[in-house]
Amino acid sequence: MESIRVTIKKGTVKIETSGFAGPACKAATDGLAKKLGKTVSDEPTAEMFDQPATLDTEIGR
Amino acid sequence: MSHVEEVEVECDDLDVLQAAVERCGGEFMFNQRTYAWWGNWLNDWRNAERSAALQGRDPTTFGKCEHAIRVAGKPGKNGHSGPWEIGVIAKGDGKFALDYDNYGSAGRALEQMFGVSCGRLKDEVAAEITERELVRDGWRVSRADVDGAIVFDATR
Repeated sequence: MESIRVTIKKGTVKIETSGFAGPACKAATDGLAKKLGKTVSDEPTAEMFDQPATLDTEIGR
Repeated sequence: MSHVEEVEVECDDLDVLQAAVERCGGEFMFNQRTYAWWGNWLNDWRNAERSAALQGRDPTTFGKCEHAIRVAGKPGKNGHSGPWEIGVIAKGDGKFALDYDNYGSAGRALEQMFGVSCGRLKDEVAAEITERELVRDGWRVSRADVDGAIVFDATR
């Protein structure tokens, strides 16, 4: 099952995904990340190149 | 005393900002052109990181705004006892400026509700954007407050 967790604390937003196939996780969260502000780190995990994929994005506000 | 601070918030949607204000316990006052503060600029605050005047803002603009934010049901009043308000000004670059006077008990009352430098309000804006975007994209979304963080879990 595809899932997204967004954690917001003290001006920082962290977006974590799991269960996506390959780079689909990035496509699913890009729009949200752009709306939220400037991405300060974007860390595809090793799983991004397998299936399912995960991606951690951190946004500073 | 006048300690006016300008805080930028990444948001260009008044509806989102209003919802975030209400989450904090505040009230959004559309088209209120002034916000309550000390009332006149005394040039008495030397905090270079937070003072709007030291960051180049024209002090004659303090107290003026396009919309205002207040503690729900409490009309603002200039002067030391307040209650004071937050001014909202569109910056035209996808951001709003939030102006407020953080001095004394009237300033602290705003910070208790909206956070120091409007930090709690900014987090609620991010939460509102997040929830709206995820729901729009067809996700089932739940929200929880965990150890001071706002956490959304979305599945589909």
